[in-house]
Amino acid sequence: MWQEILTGERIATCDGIRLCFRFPSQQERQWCDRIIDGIRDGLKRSGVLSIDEADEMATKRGLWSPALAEQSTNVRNEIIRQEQVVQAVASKEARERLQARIKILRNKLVEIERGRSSLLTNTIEHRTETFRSSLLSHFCVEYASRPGVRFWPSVKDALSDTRIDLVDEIHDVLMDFLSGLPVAVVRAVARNSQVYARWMVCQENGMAFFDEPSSAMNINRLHLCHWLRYYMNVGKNFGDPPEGVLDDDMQFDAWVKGKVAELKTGSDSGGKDDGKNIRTKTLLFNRKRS
Amino acid sequence: MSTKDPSQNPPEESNVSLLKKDFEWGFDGQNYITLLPTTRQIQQANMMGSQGYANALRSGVMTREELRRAAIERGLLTDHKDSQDHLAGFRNSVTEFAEALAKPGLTDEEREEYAAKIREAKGKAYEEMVRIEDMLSRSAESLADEIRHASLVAKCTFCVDENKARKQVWKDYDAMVDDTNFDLAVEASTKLLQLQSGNAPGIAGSQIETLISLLGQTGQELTENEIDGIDDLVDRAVKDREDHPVTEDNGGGESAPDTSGSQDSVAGNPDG
Repeated sequence: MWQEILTGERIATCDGIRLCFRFPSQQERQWCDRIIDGIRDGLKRSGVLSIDEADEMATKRGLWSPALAEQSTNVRNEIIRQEQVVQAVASKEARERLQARIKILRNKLVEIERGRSSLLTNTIEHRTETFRSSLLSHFCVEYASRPGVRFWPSVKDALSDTRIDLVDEIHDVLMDFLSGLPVAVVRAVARNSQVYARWMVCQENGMAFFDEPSSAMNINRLHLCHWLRYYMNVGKNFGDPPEGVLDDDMQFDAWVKGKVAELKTGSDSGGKDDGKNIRTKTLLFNRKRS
Repeated sequence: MSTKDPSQNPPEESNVSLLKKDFEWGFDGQNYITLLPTTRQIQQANMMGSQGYANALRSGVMTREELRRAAIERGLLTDHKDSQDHLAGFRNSVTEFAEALAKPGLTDEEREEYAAKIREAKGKAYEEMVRIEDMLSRSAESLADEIRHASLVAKCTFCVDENKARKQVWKDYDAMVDDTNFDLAVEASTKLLQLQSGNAPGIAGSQIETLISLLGQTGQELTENEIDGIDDLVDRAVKDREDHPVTEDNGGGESAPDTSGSQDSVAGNPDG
């Protein structure tokens, strides 16, 4: 995964073809945005529902409600939490049990959202995002064995392909790639001793960690920098966590929360502010924004 | 013997299964060809389906889920899980009777009896599936699917003259729905479904029925024209991309101008 973050590329095989997926440049992204804006306007003029309209219609028809929305959010969060746990669990049996639990939760989510899922599929947002993946695929998909050679040399090629199963598979991989690595994975990379050592060397010597400005960084690089800074700040403020806590995201977050609470209690009871609180506040502020 | 240099082809491509890209057929003394839809055509058809879906909902057509709930309330349909259990019951019976039939030493009468029971259980399972599907086929989702399919039929059907020149039979979806030649539309629909499903005729039946229902009933009311301006917009975007490729000079990260399109993937598709 470090390799994917370092190179900004993912190698995947789609229908027997080894392909290399890369992030679009700002210019390529902007070009797609311009086209998508026009398509969005066209769909709006044609009366296609927006997500807000779809939700409103679903609510009026009794297919959706604030209670279901809350349930859906809770189940989604639980899935994310369980997925993070899976990443941290070493035992195969425990991992299989957790994966079975995640499957049950996913089915539950489908059941909760059944009433409005077709409404959402037919919204402006869903249709434009699907079209965006077609446009982006021209820029972002290359042959793995021939760097720089695009799988679809032109937009016209990307839009004219009739191999629908292959096209769908490529779009799925591309969208998954562009949405970035899961947080649990990025955090694991940030905890890796070699990566962390590189980061510290850069910090101490005022060097750039990646050889590009932050404005050009892809989502994985940005997330990695965020989590490296988080671990560095926690280390500076609170020292090392107890044995085994660092590798368990939930336990680690709970430990940090406890430390922050301890600090806050000290501060509330008239403790002297030695500057540590200011750093902690900065740390928490940054965390909330992530 | 092929004289083509294999090194000219990307090695990765050799693993890709070859799809049948077109289907030639005759109807009423005229030759036609159906082409597989392109990504762009499918996406445009999806957009039209979504337009039809929105209009259907605004006209008061129920969603599939609403129809299912209404059918359960009226006792016409059991709950989804019950219904699945019901179907599973029929399927289990088929398996059970088939195992019994396979046992050695059965008399002819016993064999005939088990065979009849299998036929009966299969028939009941099929009837139950058809009943459920029929009940839910008047939903907004079904109408959207029909519009989507009909839009593709219009885009992918061409007549072929004696010089092998191709001409699109219907300019667009609206032209096909306006056409009074229902038989040709239904035939074209079948051919597209067969091409898309690798010539499996089983899928075609129900879709043809829905196409007939669309042509004869509500389809045209649910869509207006081709989605407003999108076709032109995409055309302009493709042309703009060809005329003004993003290069390293202007920050796009490409080293060579964009090509106008590889012949492989657009060959034979007049729309491409």
